Amino acid sequence: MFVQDIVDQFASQSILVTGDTYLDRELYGKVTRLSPEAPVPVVKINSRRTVPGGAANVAKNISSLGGNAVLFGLFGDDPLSQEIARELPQENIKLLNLCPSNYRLPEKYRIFAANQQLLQMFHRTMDPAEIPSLPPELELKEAGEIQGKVLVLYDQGYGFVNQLLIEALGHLTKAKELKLIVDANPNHISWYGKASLYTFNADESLQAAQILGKSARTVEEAGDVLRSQLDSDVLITLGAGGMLILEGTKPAQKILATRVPLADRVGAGDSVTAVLALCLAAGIPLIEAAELANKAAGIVVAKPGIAYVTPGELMNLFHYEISHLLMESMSVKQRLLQEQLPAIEDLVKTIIHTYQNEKTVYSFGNGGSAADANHFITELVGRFQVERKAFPAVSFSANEILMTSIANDYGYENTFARQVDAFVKAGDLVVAFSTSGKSKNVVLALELAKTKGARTVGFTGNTAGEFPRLCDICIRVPSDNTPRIQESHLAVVHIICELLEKEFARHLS
Amino acid sequence: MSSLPQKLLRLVEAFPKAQVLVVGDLILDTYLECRAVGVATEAPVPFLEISGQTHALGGAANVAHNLARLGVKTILLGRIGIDREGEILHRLVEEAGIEFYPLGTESPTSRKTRVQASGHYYLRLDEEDTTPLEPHQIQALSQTLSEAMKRSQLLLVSDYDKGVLKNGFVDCLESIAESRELRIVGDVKPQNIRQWRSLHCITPNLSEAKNLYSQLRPGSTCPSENLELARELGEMLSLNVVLTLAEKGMTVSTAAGVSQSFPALCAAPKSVTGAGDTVLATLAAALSCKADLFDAALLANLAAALAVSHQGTYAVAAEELSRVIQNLKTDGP
Repeated sequence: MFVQDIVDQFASQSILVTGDTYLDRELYGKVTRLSPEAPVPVVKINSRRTVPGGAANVAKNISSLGGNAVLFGLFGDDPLSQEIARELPQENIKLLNLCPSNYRLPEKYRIFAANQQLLQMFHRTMDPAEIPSLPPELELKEAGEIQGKVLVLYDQGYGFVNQLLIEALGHLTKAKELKLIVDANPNHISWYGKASLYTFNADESLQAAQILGKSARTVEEAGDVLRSQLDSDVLITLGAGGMLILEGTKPAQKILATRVPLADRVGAGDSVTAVLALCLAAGIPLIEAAELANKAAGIVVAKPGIAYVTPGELMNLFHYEISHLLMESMSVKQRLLQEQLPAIEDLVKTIIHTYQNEKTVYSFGNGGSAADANHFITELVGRFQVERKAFPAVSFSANEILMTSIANDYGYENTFARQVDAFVKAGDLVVAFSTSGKSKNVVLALELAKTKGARTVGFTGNTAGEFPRLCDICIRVPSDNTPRIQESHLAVVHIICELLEKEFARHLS
Repeated sequence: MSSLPQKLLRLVEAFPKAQVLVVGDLILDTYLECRAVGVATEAPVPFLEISGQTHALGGAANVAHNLARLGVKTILLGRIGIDREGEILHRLVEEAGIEFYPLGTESPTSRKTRVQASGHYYLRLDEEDTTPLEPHQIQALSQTLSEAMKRSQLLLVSDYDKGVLKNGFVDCLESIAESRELRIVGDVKPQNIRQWRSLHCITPNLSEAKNLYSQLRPGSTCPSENLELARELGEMLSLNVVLTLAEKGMTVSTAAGVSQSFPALCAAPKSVTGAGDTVLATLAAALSCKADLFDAALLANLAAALAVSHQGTYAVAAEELSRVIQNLKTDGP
């Protein structure tokens, strides 16, 4: 199924979310000194960001992806709850307060300096014993009017989720035929019953297995223990390792993480939960849902702090990789400029002299390098940008009749040398392309060219092979990556042609 | 009984009759007591649970607190934010019996939060806004200042470089103090010394003094003798210098160059935090009761010894100081 088709269905989904809601407070600052009282850093805070966290963050992720979220829980009259209550409806999240009370939301603090997290603190504002208990039958009258298909339970162990709640949610999901997804807490493993899906991170899965008294040395083993204990599908997130999916009785399947520049993992789990919830509501099979959730995680970890994913971002399947590869190409060209300027200058002068002396240019290479040689010759004989006389140039890689015939009779290593023998004269310029500098047919041709008194030029990469020995001028691209080397070769070919033409155009009447 | 301890006792007894106005940077010191839960899931950093928090007055508010504990009638003027920390600071100032004139602003209340877990100090979080006061804010304060200075014997300025004691506000304070013939005693940051024209006495520590010296005489080597340093600073700035030297005690020099050193009196200090505030407050208290500079410094030195023998910031009470004076031998410390 195309990503577009899946994501398009998000907008019509309504997801119920409950569990531990808290305030996520991020403090950003600078450290320039230690305290005079002890060798500890002094962080001078210069900005703060407060966002709803936990279950509320899952709701925000759902809304960011275009879905509708109904967040229910305990929200008190305290300033913190008021902050949440104010913000959420602005983001298309409906808020249901189960019973207004003196409950105060917990707060989580993350301290950042120089883009690194220094510390996390948690302020549990109430004693778990003080937390008001919920009525045994949750009557979500308003929720009943909403066409929700999925219920997400977010259990961080901060006190909101207890056995009574889990039982009540069990009744609710049965009565309204809701699919239940649980972002599980290992400490509560014995309270959980059958659900549509349980999610754990790697450490949590091992911890949960241990609490159940089952031995699990690997995450795969833990996953099997959990899926059988819970009689449910289990998804385990593995950070940079991707995800492990244990569906039904099928063997565990692994999805690899997308390679991204990591900012931090804050909030990635919540984005995963949101995508899974929306996909399950749309009836998407678990594996496809997990692949999309994995993609979402990749997008979120590249953004610092708590971040969200938009449908547009999810649909840009390859944006990151494309940027990365283009930047890689650019950086190779930058290094080329820093290291090979003198050699390129030399080459420009040499080709100008070659044509001033009315000599000929010959070029060759294999595969992509053959295409580069042909490209070069075409610009010389035909035209680059400016009207001028035709420059004499021949490619030994352009005639497959000739090459197959020589190869057949004399072996492939002689395909270029035989042509050098036929055509190259003293004073001619022989330009060889080989990213490794080791291709046998290229090396033999260069050796012969030198004995005939031709000037030799080599376009190669970092390894350079035989080229430094055999070439009067060596354009050595500082990279070991064949495609990156070839991209730089073509850039230099164009530069040569442009400057050569300019020089000759200057001297025309 | 000899005259020195008697003189000092009489000074302390006179404190309740004195009134001092304190102006400067108010800071709330918060201590977060935490329990280590484990490593955070998304980063290799500690995850702590906050089990309790305590608050104390800091900055100019701590200086005022010290004055109040010495029995001096204290008026405090400074800026706080319209936030929870501002409320806490306000409450603590009033509980200390200080007459408070806060200027409420949109900027956050300056605060230093120390994170401690299992007895170990882990990190400090500072939050502040150091923009100087706006002309309209200075205008709003000038009447209160004039009235408060009318009732006071001394103006104490406590500069923690949080923006209050700068530019126009300094001019305002100095001109009102001048018209009321009030002496100004202060702890001024070296980088701000040029803002002031008419300070009577300053209380730099050694590194601040060296910093001051190199600002006033760039390129010259600082005198290695502390007495010499204090004397030169006093002469260059035409004011009295009380140079605090931590475990080396203090050195005092008048503007005329008359100087004296006092040894540190606490053999095993527990904590030097806030001792500078105690020195400044005690000095100001004594000077406001017309004490001679050296007697005032002696008293401040005794108070400092008491302060550092306590853990953390400590405000010395008048009774404690009196007890220490009574235990002095007749031939003096």
